Amino acid sequence: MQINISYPKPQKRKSHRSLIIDILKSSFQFAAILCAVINIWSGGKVWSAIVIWSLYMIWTLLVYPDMIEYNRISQFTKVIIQSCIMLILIDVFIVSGWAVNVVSIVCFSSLIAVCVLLYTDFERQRRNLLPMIHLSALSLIILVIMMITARDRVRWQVPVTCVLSFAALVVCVKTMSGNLRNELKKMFHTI
Amino acid sequence: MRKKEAEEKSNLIARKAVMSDRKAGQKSRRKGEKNRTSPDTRLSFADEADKQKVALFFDDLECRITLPRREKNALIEDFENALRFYVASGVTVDDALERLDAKNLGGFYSRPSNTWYALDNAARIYPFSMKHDYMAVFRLSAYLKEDVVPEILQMALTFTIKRFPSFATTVKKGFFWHYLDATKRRYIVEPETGIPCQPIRIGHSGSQSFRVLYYRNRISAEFFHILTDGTGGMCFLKTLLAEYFRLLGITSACDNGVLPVNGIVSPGEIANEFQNVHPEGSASGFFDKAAVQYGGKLSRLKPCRVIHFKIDAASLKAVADRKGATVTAYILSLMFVAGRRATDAMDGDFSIQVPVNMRKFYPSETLRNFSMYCAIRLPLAEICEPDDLIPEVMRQLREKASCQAMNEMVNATNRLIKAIRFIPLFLKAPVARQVYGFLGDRIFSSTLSNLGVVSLPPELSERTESMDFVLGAALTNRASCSIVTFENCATLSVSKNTADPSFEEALYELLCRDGLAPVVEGSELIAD
Repeated sequence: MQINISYPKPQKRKSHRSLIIDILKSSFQFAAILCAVINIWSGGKVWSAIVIWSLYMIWTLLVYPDMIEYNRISQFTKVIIQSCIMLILIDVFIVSGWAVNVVSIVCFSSLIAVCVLLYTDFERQRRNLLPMIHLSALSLIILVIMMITARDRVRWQVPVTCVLSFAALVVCVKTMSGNLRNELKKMFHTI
Repeated sequence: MRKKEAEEKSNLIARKAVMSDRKAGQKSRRKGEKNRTSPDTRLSFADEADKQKVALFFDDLECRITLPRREKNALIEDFENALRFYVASGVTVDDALERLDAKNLGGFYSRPSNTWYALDNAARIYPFSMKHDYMAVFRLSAYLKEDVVPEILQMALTFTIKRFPSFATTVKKGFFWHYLDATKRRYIVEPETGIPCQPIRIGHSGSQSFRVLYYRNRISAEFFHILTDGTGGMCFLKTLLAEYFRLLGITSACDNGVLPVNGIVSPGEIANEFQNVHPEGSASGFFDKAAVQYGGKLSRLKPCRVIHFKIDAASLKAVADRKGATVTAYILSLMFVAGRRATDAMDGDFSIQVPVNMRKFYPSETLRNFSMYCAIRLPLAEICEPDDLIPEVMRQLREKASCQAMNEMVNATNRLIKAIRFIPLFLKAPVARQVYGFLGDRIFSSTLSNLGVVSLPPELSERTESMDFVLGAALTNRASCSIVTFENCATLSVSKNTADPSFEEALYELLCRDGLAPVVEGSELIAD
């Protein structure tokens, strides 16, 4: 069978990516299981939870990033949310008592940063508001819960972050101005 | 004949002139992108009146585009390139400006985009099934009788895209489902550089979910399946072709599936027709036991090769008729036998997925997905000669591709979607990915999609040589087949996921045995 070539000569470069991902996937899974086993075997604090979460972060942020909505706001909020979870895990499993205030500082600085990211490329980024809404709403809910449940440990950062979260939500609403209903409908549609 | 030669020569001279002008344009662009030079300083006209007309034309054009500066400049430059091509090929300025009339942009580039489209029911799985090296992409191509003029093709796309608003979108994540967000941008045509149906990068803000490619005399449109199915894609390609030829001075009527680019979009064209399928009856569908796969090591690059069998359509129909089969059933029977020769397995079933166009049961003008599928399944042990398989294949096709069977599958899909609609996407996505990863396409050995006979208005038909239809590679299936017929040429395309040539060689031999002796074209093999 004689095949007449009717396509341009293809480039080979793309074929290595899946190989690298496959190798890293196996290594990450092995490392995660090994950590858990060693931690269970040696006893003590649950440090393996932090290692496993770190591996997950590296995987989702670097090795296998999002294929849909890979933009600066979504990636930044993803880093922040995952980092906050990491801080909370360290607080719960290793050294306690500091996470509420540190997480709130991280949240309020990142809320300011997200607003900067939005307004420095407004034309394009105004279409990427959902991650920003997620971050603000999540900060607001978690910090309000903290203010209620751990009132004695709460310092100035927490109410400031609450105010900032609320302000970020207002920024989102303002950005969607005139089209708020439609924007919310598309973000939260269930049909 | 002489006239044609003269035309070709003038086109060639025009191309050379455009290339040298373009280089000059690129240099000036590098010097200062922000301060775009006025078009009439780079387009030289002897006649002062022509200069004025062009200046007025570009002034009007600037008012009609409200894209970000870089995109706007690029779009205006597309007009300049097209105008340069016309001038170099001897088209008068009046005629060129009429063909490029900025009215053809409609309000597409001047109005903000605030529409969005929920995914149709068939499209919902595609974002979950994506991987970095795999995406459900298909491709439709038209082979012209002359080489493609990229400047004109770019303009054709610029004018055509507004007629397909659901294509002018970016895939986004909602809280519960993905959706298509309308995106106003300069949609680009690209030169073809590699194997067809490679994943499309859709992650960045404003990314397009389809590509338009050109290579020599071929215009191809590759679509992420989330946008449309073969019927919708073919409508887009036909309309793009009609606009391309109009810009080259060949007008045609808007029939045979060609949409008027300046026409009003009807709501039916963007409708999710699955919601209108009768909900009564039982629901059944997706699950089946794993099928036997063709042999050969899976390639990392998917597909690693594409092969086209170009067959005389009348002879193909005659052979199928002689055997008492439809063309689909005949090709399926060949695929079963070719598949049998391409595996070392001794037991199990072969199962070939056959997409079914729902428009034949529910007439619809939708350009979104509106197709389901059935599986034609045969035990490996019973596969010997193609002719012996035809009655059983015909029977299964009649039963499994019937309206009732399709309704049941649509019902199953609708019920599943309804059941999980309130689960947030961040919970739904990993589960769906795992389920798809587990099931994937393992319940099938291969696919055969028959797009049927495609027709074009006569003015376009006489300038088009043939068409082809390529399915993107599957995850585990080693070969996927698709067929489309244009005029007297039926093109059977095979997308390969393995370097093992047993399947296509057996298919070729079986076709030759029936006296069909196809011409075989394709891409080079990329072996891992």
